[in-house]
Amino acid sequence: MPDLARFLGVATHWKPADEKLLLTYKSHNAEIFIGTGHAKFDGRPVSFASPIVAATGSVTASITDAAALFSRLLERVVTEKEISDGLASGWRVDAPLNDGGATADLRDGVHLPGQSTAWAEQEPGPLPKQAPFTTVVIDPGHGGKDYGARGRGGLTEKDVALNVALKLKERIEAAGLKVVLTRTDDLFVPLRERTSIANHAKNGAPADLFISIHANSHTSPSVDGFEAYYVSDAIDPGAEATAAIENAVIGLEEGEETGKSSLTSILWDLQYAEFIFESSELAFIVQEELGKRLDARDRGVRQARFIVLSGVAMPSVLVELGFISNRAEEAKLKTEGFKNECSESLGAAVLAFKERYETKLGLLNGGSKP
Amino acid sequence: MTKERSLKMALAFFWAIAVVILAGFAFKLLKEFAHPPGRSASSTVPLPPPNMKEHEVKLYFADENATSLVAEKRDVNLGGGTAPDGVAIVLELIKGPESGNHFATIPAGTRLLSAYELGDILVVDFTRELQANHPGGSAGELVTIYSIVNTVAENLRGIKKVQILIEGEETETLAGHLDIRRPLSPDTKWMTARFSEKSED
Repeated sequence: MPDLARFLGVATHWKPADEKLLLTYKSHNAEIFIGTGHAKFDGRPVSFASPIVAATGSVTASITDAAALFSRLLERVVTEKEISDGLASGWRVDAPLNDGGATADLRDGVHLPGQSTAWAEQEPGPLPKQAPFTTVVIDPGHGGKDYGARGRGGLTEKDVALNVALKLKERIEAAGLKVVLTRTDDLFVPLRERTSIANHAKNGAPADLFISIHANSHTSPSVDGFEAYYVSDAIDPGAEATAAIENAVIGLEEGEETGKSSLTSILWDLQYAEFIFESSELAFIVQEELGKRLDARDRGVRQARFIVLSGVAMPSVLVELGFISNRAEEAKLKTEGFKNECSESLGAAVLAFKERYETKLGLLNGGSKP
Repeated sequence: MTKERSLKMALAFFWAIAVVILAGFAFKLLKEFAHPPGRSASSTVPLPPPNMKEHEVKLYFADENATSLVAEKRDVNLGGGTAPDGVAIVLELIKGPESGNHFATIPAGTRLLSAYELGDILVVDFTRELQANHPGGSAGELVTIYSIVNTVAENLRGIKKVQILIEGEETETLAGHLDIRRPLSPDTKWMTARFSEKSED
């Protein structure tokens, strides 16, 4: 299915840090300030009838605004029909909230057919993430020849990670979810393979959540505590992140009927921005749950350019349970009690995230849960 | 007989002296070719003579909580150009911190193999010990990578990114987490820990 951008030949670039969406076509460009009704067209300020917002992976714009915007960009009349043809699964179009649009400077000189409410009823294409939350990928860090961090008492990070991961698997499965592990044994699994497993875990499509389990280390032996990392938004989604999602979508298309699952490139970028947001939520939930159960220092939530996090097309978190380089924490990490507390916390975090996700989804679908 | 012999001897002696003198000149010329004298004003070498001078640089080491990097000021001889200055700065970083509260970020035994410029990127090539002797862990990995990247980018004019190589090879990660396949910009964002309202006290 042609996506809207490719359909109209418009290049897109998403800047999540600036909350901007850039559209470029030949000599024209539009800089849309997401969440507002404002944009810059060729550097001049213009406004839309209703705000253009990014929510759960789709851009919501009124169809009149979209038609007006693309008419300007392409220097020809782009009808609402044409927009809807290009929609497929991408832009979610709602009926304009008001007819007025006195500020809709964009419409000048563009003849638009009468406002049609028919498009409002048109179902937006299903997004993979709007499917029910069913599958969790657990990634026990390191493994095999890669020992990860090593404590002076002989404990290795790879063992702690696998141990907690297996405990967590049991817990999540007991709650009725499907769990896929990136390794089930003391095996070396390259990072790219781990992200690939996650991106194909749900019947060939990306899983709903990715949780990577690690133990920390530092040269200063006094450092202790647990922390959660989520993907850095310093990553340019135009490059590697989008590549990760495209890669995931290829897998998804192999696994399902192609037509249903194709995403627009705008959507990939927005989807990624949404993953960053959801991942931050997930990281905070993880820290909170660990904080409730562990008698240890809360080192907070951080962001970093970690490969396993930027390579997966789903909300993700990397948790460092404790410092293996700290004698007391190494001793704790050896005990079943502490590892049980860790898996219990992570299990609770996964379920809390699932609940939040489903509430949000319910709201989006007009209050009806899928 | 003896006259002829002494003449031959004198001649051989003369030749030997000549060879030694010539070799001396040749050696001196070679030496000057390889290392042009810095102060000679009449030097025909097109490059301007290096103007090495002590400069204050900021080196980043790990703090005692493994939460961020801390700066130590050090005087380093600079002025040999971007890449040689980069080498001097990284060598100083490898020496480790002077303050007892700061922690070294480069694993023991690591040596710098080379450094070179690629536009606004400085490529720094380390020996395998950077990876093999690394203690691991996300926190440890972040301080090692960004102590190098932030130190180099902050002290070298014109350098915006740093590409880390290990024995000439591009590496996926140092210890299994942080992506170092591409050049990295200096970053301090990872140092910020955030807490949810509930757990913040």
